[in-house]
Amino acid sequence: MKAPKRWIETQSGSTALERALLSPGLNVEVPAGVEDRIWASLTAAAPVVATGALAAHAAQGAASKVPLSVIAKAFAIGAASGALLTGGLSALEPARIAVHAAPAPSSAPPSSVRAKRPAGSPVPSSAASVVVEAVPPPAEHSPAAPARERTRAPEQVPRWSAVASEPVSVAPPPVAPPGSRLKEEAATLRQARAALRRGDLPGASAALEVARSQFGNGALGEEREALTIELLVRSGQHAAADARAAAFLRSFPNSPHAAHVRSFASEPQ
Amino acid sequence: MVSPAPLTPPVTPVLEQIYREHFHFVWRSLRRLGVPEADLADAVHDVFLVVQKKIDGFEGRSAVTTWLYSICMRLASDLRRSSRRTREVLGADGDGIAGEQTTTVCEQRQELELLDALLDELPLDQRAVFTCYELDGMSGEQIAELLEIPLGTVWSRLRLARERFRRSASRLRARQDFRPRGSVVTP
Repeated sequence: MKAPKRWIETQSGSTALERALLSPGLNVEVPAGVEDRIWASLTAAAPVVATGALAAHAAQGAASKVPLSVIAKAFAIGAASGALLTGGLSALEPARIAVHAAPAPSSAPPSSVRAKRPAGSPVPSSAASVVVEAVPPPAEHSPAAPARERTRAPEQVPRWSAVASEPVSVAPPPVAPPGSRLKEEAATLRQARAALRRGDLPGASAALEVARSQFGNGALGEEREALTIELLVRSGQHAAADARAAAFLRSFPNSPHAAHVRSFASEPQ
Repeated sequence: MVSPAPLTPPVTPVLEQIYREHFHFVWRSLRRLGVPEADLADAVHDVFLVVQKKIDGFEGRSAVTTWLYSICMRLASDLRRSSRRTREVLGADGDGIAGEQTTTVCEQRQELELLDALLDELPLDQRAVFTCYELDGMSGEQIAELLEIPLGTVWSRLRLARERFRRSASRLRARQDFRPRGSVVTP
């Protein structure tokens, strides 16, 4: 069956009322700081294991055979939150743009990027045509964490609300979140994935370039490389994608992304 | 300040990686599945608590997001049941938006809450497909993979969800002269 037009589009068979009802739902905002606060409440109750057998085992179990497209899909969803809401509607009109994933001019160091493509002009074919603009970090008003009493059965681990409702703990946790760098890196890759999902290849290229320049040795390097290979495939540069995929598989034969990269490399599309 | 409870699973770098990579996904999925804004932080916390406990048993046969989404579905389903009970206790019409409640909803809630009320009328599996497709712009194939269902099932659930959503919207219009952009004017 052919995919039906989405109701948010006009001429999709939806009524104006239905579109009006749906449109407020396109955006899902995440209050600033809540990610770190929830993480703090999770870590506050549990011992932290830095590395070791358990971590390695968990890494193997949790990540093996994870199709990149699905991870990316997650971010296609997540991307519409916060500053990057463009995804929802832009995804409706996938651009068929040839874009070179070769290193773009590295004059774009902001940690957060959004590629702007002139509407209806599927012309740009070089990374230089990608306009990168800085998007300030989500600065939505951040009301004090809701200190709601919950009536559900108590957990053995303090719930987020319980932690947040303690007068002292409402402030940021005393222990600085260890993963702020990782968080930024993940956010940048999230943007790249989201751009890729909605067909915004220049946007994906720009975000990946930022990830490369800002987090060259980051923890998510494999993922960045896998996304780059996907970008190459989707922009029709199969030879480059194959070469890069081969290098990837040599360097990271046991990567959770290996299977996906392999499938990409052999895809004739 | 660290007070490890007995049996509390450890925080591993893998957990943090999953958390950082998928926090937004989980937040958004729970919201899409009807967890009220005020309960979202707790619900996200609960999802990752499950992840923390079960991470060793996760064999990677499905994608991480599929696993996370299934946890979100279960949690949303539990919350939905408990809020249904509350509604019943309060004497609200079990058949969704009705009578007095509609007026209250339309006059006092924001547009988003109105949408939530309509989505609440969908069975959860239809709501999942409907929101992924209509609001998140995912393709049918992506949804099939996320929910681990056949593509045909995606389209049939979408069709059913659309029909039901349309009925609810029509009922809303029949009751009230709904005007987009938030103003609802009673005749």
